[in-house]
Amino acid sequence: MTDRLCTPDEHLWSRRRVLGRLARAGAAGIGAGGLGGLLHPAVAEEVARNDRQILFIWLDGGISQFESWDPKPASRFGGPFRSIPTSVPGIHYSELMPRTAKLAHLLTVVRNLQTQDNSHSAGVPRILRGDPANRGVTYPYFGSAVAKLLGPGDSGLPPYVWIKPGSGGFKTENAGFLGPKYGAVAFGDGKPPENFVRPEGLSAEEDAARQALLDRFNARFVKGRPGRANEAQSHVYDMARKLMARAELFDTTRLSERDLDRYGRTELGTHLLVARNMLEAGVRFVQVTSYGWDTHGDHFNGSASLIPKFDRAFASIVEDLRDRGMLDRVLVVAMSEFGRTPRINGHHGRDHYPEAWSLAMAGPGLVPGATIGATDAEGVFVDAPRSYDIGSVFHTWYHALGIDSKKVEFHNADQPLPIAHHEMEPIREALA
Amino acid sequence: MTEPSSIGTIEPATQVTGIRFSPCSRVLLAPGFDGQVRRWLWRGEDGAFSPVELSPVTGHRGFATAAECHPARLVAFSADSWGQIRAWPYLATSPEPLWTLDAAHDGWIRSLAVGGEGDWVVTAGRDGVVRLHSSTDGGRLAEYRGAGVEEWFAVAAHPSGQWIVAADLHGRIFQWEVASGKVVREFDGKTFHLLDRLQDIGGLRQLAFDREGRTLLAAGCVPGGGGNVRGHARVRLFDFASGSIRHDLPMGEADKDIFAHQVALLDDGSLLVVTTGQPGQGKLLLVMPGEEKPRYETSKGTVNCHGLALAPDGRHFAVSATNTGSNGNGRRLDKDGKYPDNRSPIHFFALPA
Repeated sequence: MTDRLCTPDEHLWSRRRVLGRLARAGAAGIGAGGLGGLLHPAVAEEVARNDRQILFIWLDGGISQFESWDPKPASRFGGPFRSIPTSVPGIHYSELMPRTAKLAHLLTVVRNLQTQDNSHSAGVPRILRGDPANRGVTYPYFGSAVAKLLGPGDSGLPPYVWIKPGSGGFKTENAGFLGPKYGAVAFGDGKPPENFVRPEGLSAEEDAARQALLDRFNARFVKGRPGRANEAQSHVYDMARKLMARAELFDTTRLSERDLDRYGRTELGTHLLVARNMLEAGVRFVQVTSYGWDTHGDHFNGSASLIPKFDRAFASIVEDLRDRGMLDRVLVVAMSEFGRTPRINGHHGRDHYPEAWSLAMAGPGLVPGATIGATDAEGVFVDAPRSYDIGSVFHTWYHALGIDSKKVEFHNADQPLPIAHHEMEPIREALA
Repeated sequence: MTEPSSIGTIEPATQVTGIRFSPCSRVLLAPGFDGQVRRWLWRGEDGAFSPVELSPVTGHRGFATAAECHPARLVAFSADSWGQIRAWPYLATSPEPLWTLDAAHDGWIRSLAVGGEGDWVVTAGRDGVVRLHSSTDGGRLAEYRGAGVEEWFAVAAHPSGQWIVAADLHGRIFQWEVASGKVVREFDGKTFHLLDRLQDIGGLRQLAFDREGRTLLAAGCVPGGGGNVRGHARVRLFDFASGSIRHDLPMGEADKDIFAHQVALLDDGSLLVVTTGQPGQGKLLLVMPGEEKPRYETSKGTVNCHGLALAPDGRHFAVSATNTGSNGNGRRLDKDGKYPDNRSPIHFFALPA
């Protein structure tokens, strides 16, 4: 078999090729999920033991690094807010994040991001796919990639759940070349997809009988019609059934008053509480999206409202994951598609700025309390010696999850594909 | 009434947050994003426009957010976003502070007014407190709160000195009796607030009284959406005696004129209003309540106007606007390879006689 589109470095390392061939041999078995069908049995066994999970908090539109992780008080573009000390000596966050500042010793903050796109439409997928080199395929979003690489684990629940405002459903487009099966199950407004929960008038027995009948119809239909779409269809129904059996996970009426007070009675607070339930139940990848961060206008008042609500919810879930011992296995990421400009426009807003911005992480494999990189005194340029693009961040996440991103690769039919940008390296200073 | 006439422009090297004239009308004060309060003697003895910049007031941190003058003494009071207020002689060559309160508030002071014939200064902050300070030494005279109020956006002193009013994030406008500290009533400004997803959009930007204190003006935005805030500029006029809404005036076009940032009531009952919107939008308007169209409007050089000051002489006013090309994604460097910032040109106008 010829490796089309392979890169020179692939030829330097024979094990990769062996694994690749094994993977291809098992590619038909993607229904098994994860790397079980892709890797050498010993590696697959290791991956099967991998209990790491991800909480991915996406602040859509672009949180300002100035008003959060990388304040520049009393500088030309510093804005109106003060900075405050954190639990890490010498490190300051914006005054808008007082609770998170007390948890800085648990966080790993990267302040020297420099990415390539300053538009939402291109920038969001570019960041979420890790901006790999163009290989003529559409790469999966990080959630889909993790769903593929680590599988659903033992929870029996979907591996990739997306809690978001607005509409829900099955977001197959996130999966790219992996195929629709690895898309996200989206909980719009924190609720399951429509008609997801068994109607009260239908007994469990009746529902089971109906599902059995549906399974038979599906099996008959799929027979002789192999393909990802059919597989995904069956998969979706399967996942739906499993989630229906765990309706308590997304029933917000069961959230405690104390938790709602701690997280804040906001959309983001509630969604992070649902995310906590999902993580506790073992969902592999939980993305929580908050919209409305594109503060081109009235940015400072907007930040004064938005960021404290993020602070409250984010600090609460980090505390809870810590208190439950879950930070040993749950990688937490909070980020946007870019940061915001130093310059303050005439609408008192900050515009899009991929040139020098920040993200925050916590969890396994990372150096807690580390602050990576720096920007200059005005926050305009990343300070030497280096900046990091999203490809490096993907390598870092994979390493934190116990996946060697320089060795493990995707296989799209016969095409071996690196799981993160092949020319980039992990952020070594961030890794424990 | 014919149109206001432009009489000149000055170009501070920073963006300013608001502007105010001294009681003699000769000095213009402009607190800025750089934490300084700039000062100009803007006309000569002959009254002609011939601005001379005085040394700025330094020592504020974050944004300098507000400046107001004492009605009789040659003293100005200024505030900043780190919670400091200070008093200083506004005509002095080197305006050393007469007094300073470093922690008048915990953080952002959004609004400052002088009342009681200059006896006190009232400030309203993001910390949810309205405070009354002695204008003589900065000593705290009183503190006012509103039930459920998280943060204040604007404050004004009634000309009688008997009452103060302040507006919060949710557009609730409280009136207190200064002497007793009791809330007298609330005015309805809820239209100036919207919760959009996670964001509470506080749209109210200014409260002001007419000279006699019969009319309370509230200027701001009726929000339509958060993030990149959308909405429609609005000025609401209350009859102060009854508390009823006398006029509710949309300004300009929705989503173009998003905030009515500042407003001033002229003696004939007409209003000067400046609006802001997306970069390149916003204007100066002269509006007579009850009339269908503005008597005058212009955006020539007056886009994204954040400041408006009516001179006490009743014949002049000034508008602080924003330079063109103020926005843009990414890092655009100027021809010298430097990252540019924006400025607030200040335009001076004469009202028709």
